[in-house]
Amino acid sequence: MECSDIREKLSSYLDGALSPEERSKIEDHLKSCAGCSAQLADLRRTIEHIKGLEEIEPPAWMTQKIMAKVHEESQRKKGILQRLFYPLRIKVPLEAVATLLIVGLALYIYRDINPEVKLAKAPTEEASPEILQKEIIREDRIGPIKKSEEKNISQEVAIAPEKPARETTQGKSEAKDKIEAAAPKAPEPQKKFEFAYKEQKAAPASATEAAKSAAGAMRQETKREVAQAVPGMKAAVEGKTESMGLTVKVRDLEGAAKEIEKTVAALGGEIIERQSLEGRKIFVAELNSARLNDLREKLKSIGEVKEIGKIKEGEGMLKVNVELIENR
Amino acid sequence: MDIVLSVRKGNIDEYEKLVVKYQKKMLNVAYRMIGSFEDACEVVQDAFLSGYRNLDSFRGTSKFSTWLCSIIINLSKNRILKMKTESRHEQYSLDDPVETEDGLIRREVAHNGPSVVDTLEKDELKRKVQDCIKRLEHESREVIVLKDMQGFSYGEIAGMLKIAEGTVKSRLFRARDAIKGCLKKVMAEEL
Repeated sequence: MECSDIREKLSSYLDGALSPEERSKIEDHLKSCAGCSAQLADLRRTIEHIKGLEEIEPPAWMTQKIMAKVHEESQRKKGILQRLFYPLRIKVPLEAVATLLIVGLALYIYRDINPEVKLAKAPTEEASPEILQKEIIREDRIGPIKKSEEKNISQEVAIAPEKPARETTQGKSEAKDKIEAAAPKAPEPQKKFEFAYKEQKAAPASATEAAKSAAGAMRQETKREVAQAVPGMKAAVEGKTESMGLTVKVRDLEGAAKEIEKTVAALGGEIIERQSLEGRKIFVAELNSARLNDLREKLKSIGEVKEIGKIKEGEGMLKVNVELIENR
Repeated sequence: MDIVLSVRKGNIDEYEKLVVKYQKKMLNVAYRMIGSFEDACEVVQDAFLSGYRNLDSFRGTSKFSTWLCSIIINLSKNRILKMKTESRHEQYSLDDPVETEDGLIRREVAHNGPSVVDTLEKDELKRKVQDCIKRLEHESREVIVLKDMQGFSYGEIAGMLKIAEGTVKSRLFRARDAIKGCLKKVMAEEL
């Protein structure tokens, strides 16, 4: 071993951290090397000086200050824990009751509101292309005019369609003249007119008002033209569509639904809306009021029929809400 | 460990026993590491508080004092860095001139004569030793403080600093050699 190797190990030698072999090698070297022995003596004294440094005393307030901080920390910890978990004897039952109340309330609200929500959404969500098309045609047919104007439209449609220019004239008496003049030329629509005219009498103010409005008359003309273009709609334009409801309790919901479709079609009507809900189906059928009894009889053969609302028997198209309820 | 378990169960006052028992040792470690009494006191307070907060992580595989001392060492490091950043202290090197009350001591060739350290006055020597320790690099200072001043074993120091025992030995050799050289410089000036 050379001196540099020995000197590197002197520190560990002094700490007694060397193996016996290394220790004996160093001791042998030190016997014959004055320089390394001097190094060892210096190192030993250095360590003694370091160890001889006096220890400082902690200030008197140190313990109290530390413990004050520890207590503060403990209170803070406890505070959080108490807020979250204590006292369990009171808090747990309270939380359980509160949870039950919330669940119960939520179920009650759900049951109460859910069907209405579905009904409200159904037309927009479930509208078939046919229905949408129908809606568009109806929009074109009726437009943003008022009901009073609608009466006038139907009235004037019934009058000779080949003289649209004259129909734009105003006044109740003029309208009457037109009706009379048109009567021989269009005998079938006359009947419709009479019905419309009766209605007009029942609401003279609105009819007069509508008749006085030139703009209204223009719109009426447009509606008439549309009605001419689509003959099937003529009746609908001519008379006010009535509506009623029929509830049918059935065992086979799907089968009954198909049956309804067939029946309405056979009666010359049309299903304009369909809605499927849990355990029931709703159809809105539009058909001639004269075929209502036939429909009613047919439905009786499907299931137990219940009528909601009174039906105003008369001419024109009728809107019937048929609700099929599954009878479990 | 009994006291630690008791504190864990919620007997906070028991923690005071640990504070009383170890505060002096911890203060001395912090003071020798940092060199400032006020800062050392703050570090000791923080260390005991941190020890209380993290008592659950103390597994009892080492002594509580060893575990707490590792917290002191870490907090002292952070404090020194903070102080350096704040005051922009210069890094000290053993090759730098040693600053004394009488002014800067120039670098001298180490005296090879025997027992020259004996010539220094006792109190003056202590101050010089402290100055020399202060000028050590942080890694060297750690092992000097823990081994020669606090008497921790190589194994304990290795555990505290998370280094191998061989590394502790080599660092300790360099640190002692550096202090020896520093003291010789001081002695040569006085001679």
